[in-house]
Amino acid sequence: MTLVAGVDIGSTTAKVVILEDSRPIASAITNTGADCEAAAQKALATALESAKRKKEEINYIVATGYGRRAIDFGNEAITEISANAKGAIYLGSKKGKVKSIIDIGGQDTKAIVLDESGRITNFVMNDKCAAGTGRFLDVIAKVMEQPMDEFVQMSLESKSPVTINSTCTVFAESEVISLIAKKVAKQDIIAGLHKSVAKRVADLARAAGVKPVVFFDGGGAMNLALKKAIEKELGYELFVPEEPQIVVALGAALIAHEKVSKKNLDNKPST
Amino acid sequence: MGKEKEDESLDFKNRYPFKVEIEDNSENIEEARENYAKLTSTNIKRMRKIANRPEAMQYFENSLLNTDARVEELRRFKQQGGKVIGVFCIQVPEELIYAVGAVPIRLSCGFYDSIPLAEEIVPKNICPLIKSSIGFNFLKINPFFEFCDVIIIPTTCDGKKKMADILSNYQKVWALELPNSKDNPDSRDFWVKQVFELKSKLEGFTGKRISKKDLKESIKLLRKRTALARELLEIRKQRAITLTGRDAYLVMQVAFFDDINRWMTKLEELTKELKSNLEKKAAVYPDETPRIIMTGSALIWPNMKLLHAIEESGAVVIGDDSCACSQYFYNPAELDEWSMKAMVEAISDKALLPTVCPIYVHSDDRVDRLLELIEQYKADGVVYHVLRLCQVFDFEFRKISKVLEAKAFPLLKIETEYSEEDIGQIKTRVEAFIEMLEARK
Repeated sequence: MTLVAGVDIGSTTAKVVILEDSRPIASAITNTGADCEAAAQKALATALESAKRKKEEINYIVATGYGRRAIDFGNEAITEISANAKGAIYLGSKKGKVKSIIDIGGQDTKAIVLDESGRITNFVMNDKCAAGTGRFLDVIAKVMEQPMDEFVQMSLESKSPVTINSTCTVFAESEVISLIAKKVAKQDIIAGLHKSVAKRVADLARAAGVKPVVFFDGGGAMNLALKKAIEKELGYELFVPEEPQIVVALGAALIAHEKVSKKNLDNKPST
Repeated sequence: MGKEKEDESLDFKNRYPFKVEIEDNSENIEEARENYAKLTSTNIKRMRKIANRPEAMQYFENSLLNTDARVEELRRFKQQGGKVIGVFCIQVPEELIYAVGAVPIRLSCGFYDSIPLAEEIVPKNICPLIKSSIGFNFLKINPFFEFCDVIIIPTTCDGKKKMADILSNYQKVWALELPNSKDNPDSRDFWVKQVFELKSKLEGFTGKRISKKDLKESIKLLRKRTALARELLEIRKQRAITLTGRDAYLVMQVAFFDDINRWMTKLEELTKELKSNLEKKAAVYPDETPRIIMTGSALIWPNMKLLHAIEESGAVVIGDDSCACSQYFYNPAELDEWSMKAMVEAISDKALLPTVCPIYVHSDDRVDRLLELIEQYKADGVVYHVLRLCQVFDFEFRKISKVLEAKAFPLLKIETEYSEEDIGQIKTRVEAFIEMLEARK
């Protein structure tokens, strides 16, 4: 029996998945905050608690995400791109073989293209600006004083989304304020914001050469309005897994499992 | 040979000069100088962290760490009446400069701290290479700059053209007008004429006439330099990796300002050591290390951040098509008749036809060269570097990405500047790319 963990330290949340042999037995999500090492420790402790296991029992930990090198309890670090592909292929989709992945995180949006055998052939990430990422919608939702779930609901209610011209988060914020002052329906403003993010995501996906079936994950995939807006831009449906936030941590855990199994195999005395 | 023959066509007749006296910024300049020295030594420290690094690298390191000796050498040269000539790009036929007894110094720069200083005299939204070069040279951070009696700037990209205008407020500048297209016969005629003009200009400026023998000797000198550089590149094509990409860049960029004969001697020593390392199988990286070809905007010292990111993440920059590295003097002047006309035509052709610069209307030969490099260096992937606002390289990315996509050959585009603020994102992209290359092996 092996026990391994995948730790994904994102800009907004830290995620942990624990596998017993190759089977996921627990997961946890915490806010990253200012100290990503502490956040990762906390997520790991929570996951271990729900699995009723001790940290010492873990054979191997693979860290991923932007804070992958900031923690000192991982055995190995791997990028979130490789980990994401691993997790998505493992989970698969109900729509057929996964050919591409769109991941919307707090700070990064990524499009990953896979070949027939599941190897990555290309990937594109957004540039350093937050427009087109989860953070953009978070910031504006706060400005509009709407909790996220209501924010998404209102977007879905809109029949005629406005066009938001500013791609910069800061400028978009002032544009939204002036739209509110003009008494434009909040629903239409919010739907317009989703459309604006979706457009940027679709551009990125097309630049990468994304083709269906597209697996949609990351925190952004929990936003139904965003999913629908991207589908409208791309012209086809996306597949969202049950727990889109932990796919990358799962991928990291799967890689940890592979490493441990290979090691055990290598250590076996030849007969 | 008198000044009366001096051709004024290359001169800038700046009728509305404006000389922004940069505010008393001696403190800034001092700080920038210190940072430059610091960055240089940090870069070198990072580059030393490998096994089997050739000992001959020490000379090239020292040339950057301590420029005093070279500065002194040039000072003496100038005291004896010698002329130092600043150049940009690879299209200036350096043969003419050597033939007239002068010394060329290449002035491009990759230093971030000189950018804010330059922004007082140039717009913000231009590429960092132009801003940095202006700041580096005109704000007296570069010790060689003050020695330049004239600066020759070929009209390559828009940034270089306007730089010629801006610099003419401060310094004697000759703009060498380069055609926009290589394959038009009229362009070639025009270019040869420009090079002839440069020749008489240099003769007028130095008071020395270039004889057939002078030019022949300097052509031979630069052909020797090309041959030696190619020998180094040949070694890099081997499966065993005996030199890092960062070291290759360092070696080539020391040639920007070093004494040409001494540089060649030191290069020969390096090549000899690398050959013996090949025999001893003393490699700097394991054979299975993913091999990257660098293309795109020039990476100029001390802007090593992308090269560090690649080589510290487990790949090697095995080859490049950069004007700041292996393309700098990759092409020899080809001729078999040594008349003055044939020689000037040969050095003109050398600077125009085979240069893989993206400033021409179309540059399919740049694509050809890239494909050739992939083949010759047994590369696993290409990293396409775009300096933000370097439009010509950005324009060509689409075409090259389509060509490589059709061949299912891995390509990573990195768009960045000189500052270190995006290093985290760059590392993620580079590491993911290397993981992708490793998974394909």
